[in-house]
Amino acid sequence: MKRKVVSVLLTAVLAATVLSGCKAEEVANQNASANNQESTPSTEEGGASQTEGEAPAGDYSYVIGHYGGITGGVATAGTAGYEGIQLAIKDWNEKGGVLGGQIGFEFYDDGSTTEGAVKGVTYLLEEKNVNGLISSQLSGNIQATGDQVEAAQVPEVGTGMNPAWLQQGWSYLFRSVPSNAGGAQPLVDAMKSVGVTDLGALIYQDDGNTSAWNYVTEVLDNTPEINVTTVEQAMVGESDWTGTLSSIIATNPNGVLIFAQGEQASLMIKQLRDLGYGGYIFGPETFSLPDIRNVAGAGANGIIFFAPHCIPDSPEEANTPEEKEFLEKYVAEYGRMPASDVAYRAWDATNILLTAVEKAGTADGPTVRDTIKGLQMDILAGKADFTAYDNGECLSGQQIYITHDGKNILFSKFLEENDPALYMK
Amino acid sequence: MKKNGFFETKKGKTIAAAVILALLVIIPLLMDNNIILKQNKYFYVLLCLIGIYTIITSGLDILFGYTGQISFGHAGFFCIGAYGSVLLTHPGWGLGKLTGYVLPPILSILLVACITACIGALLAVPASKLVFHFLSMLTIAFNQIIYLIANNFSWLTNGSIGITSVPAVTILGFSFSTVSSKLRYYYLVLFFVIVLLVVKTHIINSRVGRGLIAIRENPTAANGCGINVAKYKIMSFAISAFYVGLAGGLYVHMIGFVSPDTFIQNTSVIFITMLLFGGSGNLVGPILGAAVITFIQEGLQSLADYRMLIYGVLLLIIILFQPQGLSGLGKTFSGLAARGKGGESNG
Amino acid sequence: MSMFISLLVGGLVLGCTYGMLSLGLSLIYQASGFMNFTQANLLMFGAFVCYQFFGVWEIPFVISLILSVAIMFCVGWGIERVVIRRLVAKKAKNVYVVLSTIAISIIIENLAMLIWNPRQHYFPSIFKDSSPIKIGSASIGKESLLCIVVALAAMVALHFFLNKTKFGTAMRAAAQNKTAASCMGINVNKTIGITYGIAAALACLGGILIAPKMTAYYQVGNQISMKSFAGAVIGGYGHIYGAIVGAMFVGLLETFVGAYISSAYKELIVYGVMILFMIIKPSGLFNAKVYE
Repeated sequence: MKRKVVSVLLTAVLAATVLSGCKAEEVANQNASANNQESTPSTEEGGASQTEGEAPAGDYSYVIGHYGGITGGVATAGTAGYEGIQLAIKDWNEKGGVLGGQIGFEFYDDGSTTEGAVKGVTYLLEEKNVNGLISSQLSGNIQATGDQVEAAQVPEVGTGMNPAWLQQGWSYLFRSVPSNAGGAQPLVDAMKSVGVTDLGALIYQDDGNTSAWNYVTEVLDNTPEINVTTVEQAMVGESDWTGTLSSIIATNPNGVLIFAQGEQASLMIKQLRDLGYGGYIFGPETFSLPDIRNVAGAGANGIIFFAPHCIPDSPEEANTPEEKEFLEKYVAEYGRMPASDVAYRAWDATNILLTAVEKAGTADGPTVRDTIKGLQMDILAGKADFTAYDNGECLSGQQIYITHDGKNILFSKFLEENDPALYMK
Repeated sequence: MKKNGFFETKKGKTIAAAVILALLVIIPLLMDNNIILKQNKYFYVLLCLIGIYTIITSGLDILFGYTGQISFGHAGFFCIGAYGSVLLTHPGWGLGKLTGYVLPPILSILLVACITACIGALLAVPASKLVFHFLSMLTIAFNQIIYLIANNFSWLTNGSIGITSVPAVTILGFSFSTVSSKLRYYYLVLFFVIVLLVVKTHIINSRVGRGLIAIRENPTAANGCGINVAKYKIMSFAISAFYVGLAGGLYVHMIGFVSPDTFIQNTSVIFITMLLFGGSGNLVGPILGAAVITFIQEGLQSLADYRMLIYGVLLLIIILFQPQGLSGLGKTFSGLAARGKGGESNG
Repeated sequence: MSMFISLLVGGLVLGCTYGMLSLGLSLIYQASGFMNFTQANLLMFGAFVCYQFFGVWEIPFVISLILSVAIMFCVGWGIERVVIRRLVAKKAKNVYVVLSTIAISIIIENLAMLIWNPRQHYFPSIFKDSSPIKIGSASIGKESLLCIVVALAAMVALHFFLNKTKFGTAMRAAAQNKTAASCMGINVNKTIGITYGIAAALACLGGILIAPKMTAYYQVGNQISMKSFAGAVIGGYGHIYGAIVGAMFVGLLETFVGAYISSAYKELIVYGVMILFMIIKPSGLFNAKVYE
């Protein structure tokens, strides 16, 4: 009897889940078809023609789709990005929305995987008929879905920093941050200015970090003052690097470069410091993650990194009024500071997309794309200028920061007040 | 045991299969022309994935459901199939980079499936001797090594960055490109699914299949009956690997991108859970498992980060209360009905 | 020389962590004949529980440690009581028991993610002065030494528990022959349940000791899991002392290969050694039964 009840319940639960999946699709279909009729007058008002099958869902005049990972390996960054977009859309909607209506938001959790991203993009484009896309911060996922986005003629603003996905010739893809290629030269300059002559390196083997390291290698090849003692690899999924870090220390470097995601980098720094290395550590934009300072504690002092954004400890310490405003809104909404600078990038991406839509006066993909191409505006990352580049970039170069006395400050400011060799061992 | 109605007879089964098949062909076609439902390309993606996972779970079923050998490393075969096909067809990598010539994708998918089968047979040589636990661990280690090779050998696989723009399948000038619509690709997948399921049925009903089942039931007795246990196990591994390798090829030409992340050991665990969810040791179970898990994953999308938790709980419930999987539900119910009528219960 | 010392300590720390898991794996295998995939996630969860006591509520470290180990002991026992025993009672196939442990580990991992969010949680220093100790020119973290000392102490304690106490003898008897043991008045179900509890407690201890080095993070279990299996296999699956030796071997191998041979291929080498063992000497260093 017990077994019977359980079997029946089980079937019911499964049927319900499967049906809810199907039902959601049906409802969406009805919405979409209902909208086809409803949206006719609104498009007349806007004086714009909509591409076939791109009618916005629900009562929204513009729908933004986002695929990203709020679960999986890089959930910290993914969640921050998700929150950044929602905050920006809320902000716009409070100001009256765009194209005379409110802005909708559709999300697909890709679990930080490529297959998830492919499913997610198809879902957003075909099922939810979104008008514009904000990508995940994982460059590999953007690259894997680029062809689809291009074919659907939907503008996408990406937040990944690997230069590669804007070098494929896709015309609907844009980036809201400078690529990490621009970080190499200033980072090497910083190494020279603190007097590093022998550099050991540890590179985490994922696409973002290997590509960023390739740019640094190019610069280092033309820098005879700095000799690279060893380049070690850290594999995806590892969490202990005692052996690798020991062999780096054994080559007696006076500077160590670590390129890794924030989750791994914080452990690497802690383990490196435990092994007795007290000198400068150099890193990429992921080092702006506040968790680095939490995990590595005092060991985080003396870290030099490039980043488009660097999250301060409180909104009051923001570098620009725009950043302060953004952080105040963020804290008001979520009760805490962003956990990753991807929140900045996503906020910028949403603003770029919506500004272009407002300027274009239509949700039509090709028109919005052309508007973004001619866009010049102030964003958190600086003065974005899409006209200066022909491939969808809007900025170049990176800021250099240093962690000093438990705070991230601009490296130039640090040099003014301190001895450059402060953290040389 | 009495026959349970029309669909238990051979003729009934054939008719049922034909009807399902016709529906599978016609419904998407009608959808594509906006006759019923609405054209929905996202649905085709799911259908394609279900088809590919069906091939995988059916392959795994030959190994696990019929031969009784566990594998926690089938993502390794999947990886070989996917990367193999990319390296044979991509103009910028592997064969194309070395010689300037590439194979047509459809040929490479078949070729790679054969290569995967050989690798499966090689793995089976030590594996055929091991008991359950050690077999699990050997296959886990195999999966890890394949994953690490894909991740570390950048000159061959482009490492963790992955390879983009994988060429689309083209047969006699007819393109199965998946960029704008996956409907055509769905029919390609469906074709392979049907062929492989028919082949599977024939294998199971042949001398080999009976040998495999004998090994599952009792290896010692099978040996006593003159069945070469090691040889049959190696064959089972090879066939299973062939299925999964072929699925890998189909998968990669659909997604158009390949990177090592897809082939972590967790993927193997998902394959096994699909099979158990649906029910092993029969034809329908693997199909049901692939379909239901894919739909559950999508149906639970709106639950965001609670998704995996619910997935785990469902899995545990299935294992605890319905160990024959979904395909056993019918049996459970008819058993219960019989018991309700005063029939004899056997647990 | 200083590099050698840091490597030795680093390798031992890893080895001890893997050892805590493979010890649990072997205990469970010996007592009930099942593989168990939950160990690594119990390690992760234990670290989180201790983080909650020690890091958030600021209860003194020793009390937090004892509390979390006790809680995880109950969790382990509970898993056996609620899931494993039911399956065994139904005469479920081996593989279903193993899969139920996979399902449980998915549940534990995601519970941890939902309770403590997916970020890494900094485990506060156990010692007030966290500066490394200098041995010659090598520097060693105090937490690493603590990890090795406590792990070794736990292993010795387990040895005495199994061999010198009445209950330990009962557990060994039940592991050798269930029917005979129950005829002698031993409650076999209880001994198996307690074995799962001990395994979970060991995993929790390992998780707490490694937490200062690896933080409390919901995905910390994945890699450790595979390595501890490798350790158990190399030692001889189901053999308690073999598990410790095998795990130490894997920890040291990983660290030394990473330092002296190649950081990129260290994982390949570890798994390669494991496969070689399975092909050439699957019974491991200490002979275990592996063939059909």
